[in-house]
Amino acid sequence: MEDVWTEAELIEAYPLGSVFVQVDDDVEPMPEAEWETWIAGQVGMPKHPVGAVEG
Amino acid sequence: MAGTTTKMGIQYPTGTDYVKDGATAMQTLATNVDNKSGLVFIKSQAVGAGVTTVTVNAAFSTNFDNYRIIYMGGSASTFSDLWLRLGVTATGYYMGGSFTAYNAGAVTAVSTGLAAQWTYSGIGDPAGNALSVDVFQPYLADQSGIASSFFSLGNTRVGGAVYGVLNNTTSYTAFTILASAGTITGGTIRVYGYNQ
Repeated sequence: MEDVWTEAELIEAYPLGSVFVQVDDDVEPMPEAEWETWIAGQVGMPKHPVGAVEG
Repeated sequence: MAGTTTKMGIQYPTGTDYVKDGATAMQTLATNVDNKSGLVFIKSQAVGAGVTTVTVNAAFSTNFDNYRIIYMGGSASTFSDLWLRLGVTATGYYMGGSFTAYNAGAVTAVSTGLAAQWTYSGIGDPAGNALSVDVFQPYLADQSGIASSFFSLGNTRVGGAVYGVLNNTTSYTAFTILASAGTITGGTIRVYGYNQ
């Protein structure tokens, strides 16, 4: 069974304020609405994506 | 100008040339370097801590048609693929290629059609991030291409090669690297132009 991220795991690993976006030299915390969308988009994503195949 | 360098054939003055011609000689030498260098360094961008996306502006211009983007070092919070977008475009990316796990022989084919990004551009890994891509004619009002050396600094990951196209004729000056999962921290993005 594929190992995927759950919402609880993601919120624990990446709480609001701990995730940033960068434009050139400016690094800003991800706004709350954007963070919620980002967390939702990560739910169900494999913990070992295509580039993470373990031999 | 009495001599030329061995590797690049760049002209240079000799010690017996007139001092009054020095400025002209230096200008000629500088022009030769400008014309003959293969890859020309454009800019670098240090990556901050805990970021999901890094946008690099003023990367592409009329000076060059084709570019090399290299992002090495730092770390990733979890296993991820590194994605690449041009400008703010989030559709029309096509890729095809293959990879093999470092310690397993099977070849896996990968492809994307009409995706929101070039998905297999690099690999984020707690051991270090790696992205090395050639981007072809992003500034020109024509389709943009990519050739990605898809490899990882983590020894349990994969190595391969992926190629693709962005199916529009938009001219771009900026690009964004995105982590498919988690965040990336540190390392440096460097952009080079292929001289022409």
